[in-house]
This record gives sequence, structure tokens and C-alpha cells, in this order.
Amino acid sequence: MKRIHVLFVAAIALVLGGVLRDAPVPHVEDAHCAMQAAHLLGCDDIGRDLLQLLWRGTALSMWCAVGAAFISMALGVGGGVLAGHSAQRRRWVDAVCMRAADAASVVPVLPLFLLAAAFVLRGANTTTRMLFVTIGLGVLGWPSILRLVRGLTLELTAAPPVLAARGFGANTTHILRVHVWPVAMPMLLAHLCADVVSNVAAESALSFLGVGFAAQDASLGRLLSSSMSSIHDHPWQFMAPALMLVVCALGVQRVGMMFDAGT
Amino acid sequence: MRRSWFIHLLSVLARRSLQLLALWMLLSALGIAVVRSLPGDPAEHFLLLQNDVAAEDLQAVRAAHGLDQPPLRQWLHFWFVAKVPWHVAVGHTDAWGMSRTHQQPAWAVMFDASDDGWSRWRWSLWLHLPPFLFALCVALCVGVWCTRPSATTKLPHALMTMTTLMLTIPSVVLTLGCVALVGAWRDGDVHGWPLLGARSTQGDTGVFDLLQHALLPWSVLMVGYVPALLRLVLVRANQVWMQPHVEAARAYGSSWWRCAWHDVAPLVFGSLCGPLAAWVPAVVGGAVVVESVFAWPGLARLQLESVQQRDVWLSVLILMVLTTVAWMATTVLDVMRAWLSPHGASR
Repeated sequence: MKRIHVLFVAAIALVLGGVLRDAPVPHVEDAHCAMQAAHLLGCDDIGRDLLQLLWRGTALSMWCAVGAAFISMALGVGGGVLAGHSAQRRRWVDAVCMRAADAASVVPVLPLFLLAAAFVLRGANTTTRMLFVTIGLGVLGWPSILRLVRGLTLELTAAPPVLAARGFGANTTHILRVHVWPVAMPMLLAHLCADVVSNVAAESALSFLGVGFAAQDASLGRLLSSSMSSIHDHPWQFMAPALMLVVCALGVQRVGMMFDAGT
Repeated sequence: MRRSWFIHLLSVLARRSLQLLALWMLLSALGIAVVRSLPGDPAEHFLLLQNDVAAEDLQAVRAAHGLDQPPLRQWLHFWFVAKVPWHVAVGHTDAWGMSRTHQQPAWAVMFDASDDGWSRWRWSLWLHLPPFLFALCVALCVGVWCTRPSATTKLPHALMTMTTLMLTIPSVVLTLGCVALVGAWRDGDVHGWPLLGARSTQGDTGVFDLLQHALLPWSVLMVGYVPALLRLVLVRANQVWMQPHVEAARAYGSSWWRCAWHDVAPLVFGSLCGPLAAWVPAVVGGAVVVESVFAWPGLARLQLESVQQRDVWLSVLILMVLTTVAWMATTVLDVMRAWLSPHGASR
């Protein structure tokens, strides 16, 4: 079982490495070409190798998703620890954090992103787009993590070992580092993986709607979007990115379940 | 007791309303900030970067969008005056901005009936509410039935595995996959069961035509909703069947379906309200994908169109309305959770 998990992690690392590759060059004479030795998955509508596009596109989507999940995690953990820790003494800090989380969690992410991206990303290059999508998804995904971490902090700081440590004179940093963090980490990693799955879906939806990556960057959503015009004549051009998206989500979810089982 | 519960409910609603008001203020400020932060002249972006634009046209756009005023004043006008900056287009003076592309108040674009007889708002409701309610009923019935004490344990396990797999399929893949599959099956034949749109172009306005067009989007939405709801129901129903009062009722001879209807289903639904409240904003946001793929004339697709046309006030207002919808659903579900919970009822 553990070997399978290692394989999943290795596969995810291999996929993430695809971002180092250059975008494939179009050859118009190869447009919509079938699967062959030179092009194992065939070519797209402007003659780009689909396998290369898929690798690079998956890497772009996954980097965005992973980066955004880490940003959400950083914001959520910071806010959650602050809220949970101040729930006893400075209740207004806890109240402000929770009301902000309540408010942020009712804003629909995709329409908000559409509004911001359509204006800000006009004429932007790949790096800017990637940063914008990553930071945007990250900044919008923190409320659920804040609630989780706040609950954990409240529960763990009232646990007998922590009360005993406090009785022996341990300071807050020590309690958070030694008693709270080791218990919370597996749960947070499982949540991180779930976040990556939802971010992959959100990024592909944004790119599909035309506000994430540009057409030449070919993230998974863009590949899906560009395959729509020839979905009946060349269904493989749709199925390849769709399958890759599902496989990525399943792989990351599997890693998350591995962490979840460890809690 | 009842009076204090009512006062508590009122205070919760008042607090939530203040939150919503703050959100509205923030979102409208965001719209203004986005436009103001554009590089170069923001007015050119409204004209979709056309090459040969006369200076008078640019000035008219600046005046129409309030760009010739300081940001704070523009924002205050949006909320409190709402007559000065946006009346240029056709002379309307309605509140909350004018739609540049539709040449009418943004509010009217969303809520007034269009040529097909229904407003954008109504089309969205018609698309999303029936499959959601149907999926909720299916999930409750199947979940409670599968976890009854006399049932085999294999079925819930199989369902949990299946729902895990289903939930990892992103909505965009699910939606496009259904369109591709049905399209291939029907071989592009639009007679009978059309793939796209909400009404036939031939002018058929009957109920059967409505149902024909809605069938595929509803099916896709239900394929997305049912696994998510079923998973929640299965987890909760397993616990509720083992609660002492349910076991006592069964020991006194109540049939399993009476226990299911009387004891288990209300508790499961009550505990479902919390996760549902957290889930609603994602569903509201995801509507953009579904409505875009199926060319459905709903609010979410209007949002995409307005963003593509740089119709900033319309898109800000749609965002505010979608946020309000999510807020209302969250508030109602939270109140229902407190009401249906055995601990919350006494509070």
C-alpha cells in the first residue's frame, strides 16, 4: 500500500516538472493528426503535440492549485491559531476573525474571480496569469481552514497535557509548537490535499471560461475549452485533458486519504 | 422560552444583515478598485481597446462610468445618489448603475422579463432549484434506507466508494462529458432532446419544450449533487440509527420506515444543513460553468457576458446578487439547523 502512495507522490512530482518544458511549437500541416509514433496522442487544431501540451498544461494547473492551497493554508492557519488562542482572553479578536470568515465564505469565488481577472489579466503574460490565479484562489480559500484550525486550537489548548504544561510554566509558542502542531498537522495536510483537488477544478473552470490562462499557455481548462469545437470529430482531444484532470484529482485525493488515515 | 428564541433569531438575522451590508459595500468598492487600477486610461478598456476612438467618446465613457470623479465620490454615488455618473447612456436615472451593453439599468437587466418572457433570475432558478431539491430527496431516501439496521453493510461501503470517485470529477469535465456523450449519441440531432439553450428558436413556449431543454442540464446537475449529498447523508444516518431514542423506538415495535420517517430523516436533514450552508456559495459560483456550457440564459451566464463586454456595473451588481443568494441560503439553512437540532430547539 505504501509503495502505491510513493508512486502517487512520484507521479505528482513528474507532472509538476512539466512546467520546465517550453510550450510546443505549432505545425499547421499536422493539425488534428491521428496518434502516431511522432505524436503519441496526436495533435491539436493548430498542430501542437497533444502529449507535450498535456504535460505542460497539467503542470501549470497543478502548480497553481498547489500554490493556492499553500497560500490558503498559511492564511487559514495564521488566522485560526490567532482566533482560537484569543478566544478566552481577547474575545473581540476571535469575533472579528470568525465574522470575516463568515462573510468571505458566502462570496461565490468564480464570479468574483471572473470580474477581477477579466480586467486585470488583459494582455498579461503566462507568469502574471499564473501568479494571479494562484494568489487569487489562495486568498479566497482560507475561511474553511480558519474554522478548522480555530476548532482544533480551542480543543487542544483545553486538553489535560496542555493544561499541565501551562501549569509547569510553558509559554504559548512552546504549547503551539509541541502540543498543537503535531496533532493538527496530519489533519491540515489532508485538508491541503482536498484544497488542491478543488483548486484544480476551479482553475480548469476559470481557464475554460477564458479568464485564467491564455490560449497559448494550454492549461487543462484551456485544452478542454479548445477541444469543444471538434469534440465530435476528434473526441480524444477532449478525453485526454478530461482524463488527466480526473487522474490528477484522484491522485491528490489518494495522498490526502493517506494523511487522513494517519490521524 | 418561545419569546427568547424569537429574539435570538432576530439578533442573528440582524447580525447577518450587517455582514451582508458590509459585503455589498466591499464588493462595490472592489469593482471600482479593479477599474481604477487598470494600466493606462480605464475608459479605453470599456471600449474593448478599439483603435480609432474619438476623444469625445472617451470623455463620454469616463463620464458614464464616473471615472471623471475621485474614487470615493464615485463609490458614494453608486450607493447614495446613483443618478449623476451613469445617466449619460440613455438618460435613465435608476439606482445601482447602468448596463453599458444593454442600455438599461443593471437591476432591470437581471430582474425584468426579456423577449422569451422570463427574467434571467427566473431562468437561473428554474435550472438550479428543481435538481437540487430532487437530489436532496433522493440522497435522503437512499441514504436512510441503505443504513437501516437490517441492511447489509456492503451497500453503504460501495456507495461511499462510488461517491468518492464521483466527487473527484470536476464539474467542468462532468458537464462537457455529458454534452459530448449525448451529442455523440444523438449524432448532433437537435430534434426531440436539444442540447443547448432554454427555449426552442421556433417560438414554442409550452411546458414540454421547457422540460425538453432542461432535461440534460438537470441530469448533469443531479449527477453532481447526488454523490455530494448522499455521502453526507450516509455518514450521518449511520450515527442516527444507533442513537438511544431510535433504538428504544424499535425495541417498542416501531417499524423501520416509521423510525426512518419520524426520527432519523429529520435529524439527518438537520445535521445536513451545516455542510449544505457551506456548500451553497460553491454551487452558486459553479453555475457559471453549467450555464455557459448549456448556453442557458441565466444570471451566471449574464455575469460571464458582462465581464467579457467590460460592463463593470452589471457584473458588480450580479456578483452582489449572487452573494445575496448565497447569504440567504446560508442563513435559512443555519436557522433550520438550529430548529431541527434536538439541542437547538430548546434554545
